[in-house]
Amino acid sequence: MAVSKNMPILIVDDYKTMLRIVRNLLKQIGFENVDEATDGSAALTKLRDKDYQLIISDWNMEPMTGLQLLKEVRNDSKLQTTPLIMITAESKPDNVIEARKAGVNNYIVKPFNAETLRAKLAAVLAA
Amino acid sequence: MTATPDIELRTYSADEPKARTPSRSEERLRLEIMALANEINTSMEDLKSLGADRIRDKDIPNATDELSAIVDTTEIATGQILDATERVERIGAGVADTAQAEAIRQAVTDIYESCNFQDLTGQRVRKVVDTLRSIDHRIAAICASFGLDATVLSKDGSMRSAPGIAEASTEQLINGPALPGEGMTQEDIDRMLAEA
Repeated sequence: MAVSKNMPILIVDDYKTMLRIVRNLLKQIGFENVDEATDGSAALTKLRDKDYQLIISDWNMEPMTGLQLLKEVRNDSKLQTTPLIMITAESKPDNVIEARKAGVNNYIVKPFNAETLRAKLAAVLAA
Repeated sequence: MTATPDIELRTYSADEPKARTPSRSEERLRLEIMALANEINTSMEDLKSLGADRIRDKDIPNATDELSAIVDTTEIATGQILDATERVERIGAGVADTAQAEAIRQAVTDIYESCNFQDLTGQRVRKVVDTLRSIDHRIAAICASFGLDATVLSKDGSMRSAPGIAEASTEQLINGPALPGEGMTQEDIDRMLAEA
């Protein structure tokens, strides 16, 4: 995937603090074209309105979780190739397996650091 | 505490034509049932003396309110830390000395990373609130099964919930944050994904 620092990224989390942290860390890495959504359904609305090149999503949200969002994205012909990185506190093997089966591109466990985010972004965008 | 069993056991009278002497095993069973009846009565008395209504009407709501306040306070504090950090980041961007500017940027990154705690503590608190609610339900169920006064049950039969975190709680957490030593590390997850 051709990577532009201006590529639109959608971050999804129900905690405003986390949205702010991820946004700031992305800005430090060089990505400033970042929009936010507070759950999966709000994210889907935005994804259908704008051509995002990357989704970074939490798992535990209501009403639509990050996993449900991932499944919706993979089932949508227009969105199915959009990379999605899950950032979550869920670290049980079953969670990772479920996310992988649903088509997650990478998986970051909280608490995470800037280097991990940078490395996962690089891996996903290079694929 | 001495409690009289409410359970009345069938006794055999010598006048009864079909009466017979209970066998040793029947007598043992009768004694066991009487002991069990005593235990149940004692438990009911204990439950009444515990003040289940106070636990449900006051203690559990108080506990969930306190937990809600913790989440609110840490969220506000984290927001203030982030406000200040963003100001420092802007100032750092204008520092001419490259080494100093990099040192500021690194310190700012460290603060952003550290602020992860707010999300994790919030999720942990939600798990505790869910546990309290589960205890609340169980107390209600026990009271109901013992036929205790209906005032110990929810007034409207619904769950009470703490303001603030109530709407974020429910079933949305799959497992929530793992305790130290539990769950997988980032390295474990990377290995698992690489094997796919």
